[in-house]
Amino acid sequence: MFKKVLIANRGEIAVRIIRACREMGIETVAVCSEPDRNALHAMLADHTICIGPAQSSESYLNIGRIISATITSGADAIHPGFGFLSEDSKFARICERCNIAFIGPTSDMIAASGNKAQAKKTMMDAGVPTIPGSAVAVNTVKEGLELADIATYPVMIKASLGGGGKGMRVARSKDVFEQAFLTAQTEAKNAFGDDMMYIEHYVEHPKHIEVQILADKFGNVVHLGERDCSIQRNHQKLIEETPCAALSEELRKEICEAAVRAAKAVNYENAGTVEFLLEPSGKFYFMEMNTRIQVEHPITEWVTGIDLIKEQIRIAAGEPLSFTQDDIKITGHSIEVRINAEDPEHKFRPCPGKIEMAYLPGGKGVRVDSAVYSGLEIPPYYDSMLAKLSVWAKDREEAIRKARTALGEVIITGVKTNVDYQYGILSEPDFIEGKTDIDFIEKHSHK
Amino acid sequence: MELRYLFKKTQTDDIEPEKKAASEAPQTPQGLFQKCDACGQTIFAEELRKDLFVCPTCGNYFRMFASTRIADIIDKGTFEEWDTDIGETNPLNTPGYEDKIRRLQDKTELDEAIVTGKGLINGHPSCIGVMDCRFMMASMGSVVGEKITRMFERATDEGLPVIIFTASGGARMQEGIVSLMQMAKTSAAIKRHSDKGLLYITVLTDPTTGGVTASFAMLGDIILAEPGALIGFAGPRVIEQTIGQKLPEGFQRSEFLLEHGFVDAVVARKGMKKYISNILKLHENNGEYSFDGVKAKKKTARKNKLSAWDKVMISRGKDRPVAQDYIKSLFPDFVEFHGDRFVKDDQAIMGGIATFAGRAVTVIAESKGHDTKQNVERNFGMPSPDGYRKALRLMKQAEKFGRPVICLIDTPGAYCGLEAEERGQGEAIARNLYELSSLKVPVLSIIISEAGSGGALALGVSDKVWMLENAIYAILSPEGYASILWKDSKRAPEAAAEMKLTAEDMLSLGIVEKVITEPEELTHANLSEVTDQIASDLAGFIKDNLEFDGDALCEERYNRYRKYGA
Amino acid sequence: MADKNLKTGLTLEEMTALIKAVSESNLDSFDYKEGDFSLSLHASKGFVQQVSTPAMNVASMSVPDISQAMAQAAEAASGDEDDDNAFIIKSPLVGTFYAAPAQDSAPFVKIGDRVKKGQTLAIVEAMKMMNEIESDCDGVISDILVANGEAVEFGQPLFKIS
Repeated sequence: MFKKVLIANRGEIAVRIIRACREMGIETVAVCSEPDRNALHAMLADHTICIGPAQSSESYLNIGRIISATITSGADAIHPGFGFLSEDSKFARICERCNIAFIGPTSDMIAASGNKAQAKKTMMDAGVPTIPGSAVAVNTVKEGLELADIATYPVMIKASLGGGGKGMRVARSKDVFEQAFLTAQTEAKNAFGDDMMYIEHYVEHPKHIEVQILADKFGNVVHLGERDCSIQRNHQKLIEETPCAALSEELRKEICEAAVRAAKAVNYENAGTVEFLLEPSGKFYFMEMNTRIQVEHPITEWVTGIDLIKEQIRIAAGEPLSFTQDDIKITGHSIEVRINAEDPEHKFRPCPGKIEMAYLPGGKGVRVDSAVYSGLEIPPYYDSMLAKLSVWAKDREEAIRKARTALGEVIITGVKTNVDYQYGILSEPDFIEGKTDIDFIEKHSHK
Repeated sequence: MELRYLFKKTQTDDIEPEKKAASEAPQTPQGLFQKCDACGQTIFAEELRKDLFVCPTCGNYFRMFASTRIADIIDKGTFEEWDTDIGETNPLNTPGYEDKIRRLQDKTELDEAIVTGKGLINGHPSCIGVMDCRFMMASMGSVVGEKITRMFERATDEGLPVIIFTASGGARMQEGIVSLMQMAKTSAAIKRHSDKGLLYITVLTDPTTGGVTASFAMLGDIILAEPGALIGFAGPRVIEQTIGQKLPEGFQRSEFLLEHGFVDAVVARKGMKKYISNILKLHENNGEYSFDGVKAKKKTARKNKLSAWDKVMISRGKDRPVAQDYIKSLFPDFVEFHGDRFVKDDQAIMGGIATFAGRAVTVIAESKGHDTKQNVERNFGMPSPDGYRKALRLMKQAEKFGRPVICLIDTPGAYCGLEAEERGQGEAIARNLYELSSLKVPVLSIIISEAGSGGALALGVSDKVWMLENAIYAILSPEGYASILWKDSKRAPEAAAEMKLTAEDMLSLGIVEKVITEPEELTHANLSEVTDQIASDLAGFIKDNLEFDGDALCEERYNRYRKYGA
Repeated sequence: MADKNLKTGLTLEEMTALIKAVSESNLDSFDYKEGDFSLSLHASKGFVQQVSTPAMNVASMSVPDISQAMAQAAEAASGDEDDDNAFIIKSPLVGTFYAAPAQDSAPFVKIGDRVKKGQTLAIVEAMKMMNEIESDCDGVISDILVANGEAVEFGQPLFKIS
């Protein structure tokens, strides 16, 4: 097992990882940027190294500085968390070359799933259903139009290196294709420096279903059930829950088994998530594989009782999984609500500033993953997530009540937050009845 | 009290950790990262290799090992290395020189400062020499000179082109005067290679200086340079000390040489192989011509009711297509070469090579701009002596490689200015008339808009001259004519009629052989109506000249001009 | 609540109290030694501190952590007070500090040396890459705040030049 782990991240996920390491008796090294010297993760860790100025490119995204901090501090592993360098195959590759254990999959696997065209082909070969559309990325309108005909309208145009909703457009018919294509392409070029685009069938009103996978270095792969992440705004998840209310036992089995096949097809190791789109008809399509721990992992931990971060560390240290698929039992229902420092009344613009006071709830079945405390200055350089509130109850109805109750106790002053907005969603009759799909927010935004 | 002191830290078991082998402990392996000298950024070496040793942060070009360069340029598995066993010489018995050479040989795994051999470049056979700065700054001693000379001799025998990637501090001090003689020896071998009509390309990389610049580096038919490379005869520090002043930014860099006419093109490392293989392709006359795509167009002759003055105005029209538009349409694979090899690259004339129906041709054009900015860059299509000398250089190159020359004429006249006179505008025009008259390859000139005086004729001493319907050709502008003869430039329209400057006039005077009809109002949109006709006629010209007798062409051209006048 | 990682006879609380006392005293310099532990403090704008244990191995980064905390305490204490025109050269990166170009050669500079802007003062090695630390100004080295071979973090003060 590792003696010392460096956490190449900040915010609540860094705190989450420090806690897991501490429970395992592993020393922790936090890295921070200059404005983060007083961030919770920097104060909580056993050792803290300031690695650079505020801009992520010079700190949390700077591979050289992080590797140097790891070697200088004598850490033997790096946990990348999510975001930042977590899915950077070059970073993973450099860790491998420096004998630093990267807590995640190998660099080759990250590179393979980052290449969406290759990943899709691998999945098709493995018998995992995929969305009809382009197997190759294109960069001209003419090629795009040809592919759109094959995929059938409406079609989705998206960046081959995409993510986070950038470089994506839907074209409902042939005559609007060109404009949609060029807009998406420009965005893609600006955001990712690459103008290769995919064209595929646009699945209407689907649910976003993802399956949590754990795989060790010995070929053992298990799934930990699914998560329904349909409540999204601009492709950013707001509320996640598990299990998905819309799945029959048969369909659940089918999707989860497809996810295991997907992971096996790429010889996956460590924690990963296989994302699917589920049509109202019950048809589901492979979207992508996320080669990292997810923001919403706590709800899976609630219903399975498995600590995913600790499992990640054990797998990276070369230990085999200590349980089989049969040992995993899904119990009750869990919901997670993301609390962001943003202003719902002004297009959800981020609201950095000083947290005057933070009161966060607790109690049975309530968990808060956060990095805020009264007096903390939220810097404007990073993402706006302040905390994740997750709850567990025996069924969905009770879980919603519990989430509402807990959210109603959250008090954060000094910066604007989306707490009331989220409370509103939890009270929405359609949500309570489980009538959700990825267009939920758009449909209810007039309220 | 700050929070950080209140949190309890990790309780670790106090068991001694199992001692890991040093090789298993986290550490940075030597060479995993490299530092960019220009921006100081640390770069992942694997990434740097993938990017061909160009810094991903600032774009700085690292110096390349000869082996890496060959791997980048030569098709995998086709490189055959030559002359690795020449052995060392120490002509002046310089103490310690042999030891130094041996140490370097061990360290670099090179036998000397240049690697020579042959291989395929995207399937095109070529000899290649690559210098490597790690070996005594790639200075030229007798072994370097010998390897280059032998490569040229062999290339001459085998009829192969040669490409050299230069990089050198110059002559090798330890070999003194013998090193100096290598400059003469290599240059002489290149002359013999060239006399056989064979192609030589140099690629100047950082740094190319001293005796190497003053010999084989500057003798390429085509001289390319990597961006930002230091290229010069005397080193910048020596110059600064001699003249006692600081040199300007960018002095002696590739871009500076391009501007001053010594480099054909600055080519990015990433596209270098494709660029070179394309040039090789354009110099391989494989006799595979295809005239299928070029169909004879039926000309719809209509009555042109425009006056001479109307045509003057049309030919000067703001929206009238310019030479670049014709080149784009007729020669889509056109590769532009720059510079006169004396002082400047004059953008009022553009020239280069391309294929037409599979036949390599040299294209030279007087080039106006599309807008004011471009017109300023191109000096409104009024060439300087440097432009005519560039044109002549490219014509002589066409003659060496047996390529027809196609000239596109569009100029108000040669540039009238101080520097133009200083550099001999008259001499430059005269030289072109003189050389063109006996150029031993087919020459065709097409007047696309304005053909003003000697400035036009400098590209117009040809086997055939064609002219667009509304183009004009005159000894001076109608305004000038009116003001000289009648002291009133406002009478230009009247002068235009009197001067006989229209295409119709030219045809009846026997100055041009063909008039190409134009649509009512020629623009970019309907340019194809004109270029289709030109393509069809050009196909005929090329076809008639697939096999040609240079001397016979010169004789005919002589007679063509002999007949004018009394 | 003694911090077991520190090989000192002081508890963290005692040390913090000490820092406070030193800062409030406006001392320009403070040195503390016990066994193989040494501590030197210099209360000035932009703060300066140095803690070193000669036996320290690079793996023990707790030392810079604490030093950072002390530095901030010192910084807070010095407030807006005008500095005695001292200039602080900070580390631009995370790595290992070397005072000399090679193991057996003399250090680039020593206290009292006059230095010129652009002159190399030290090397910070990160991932086998040697990064020269250059002086930002002309002046005299009034203090060297890091020991040879010590790990340094981004922004950590290295030299004081007056």
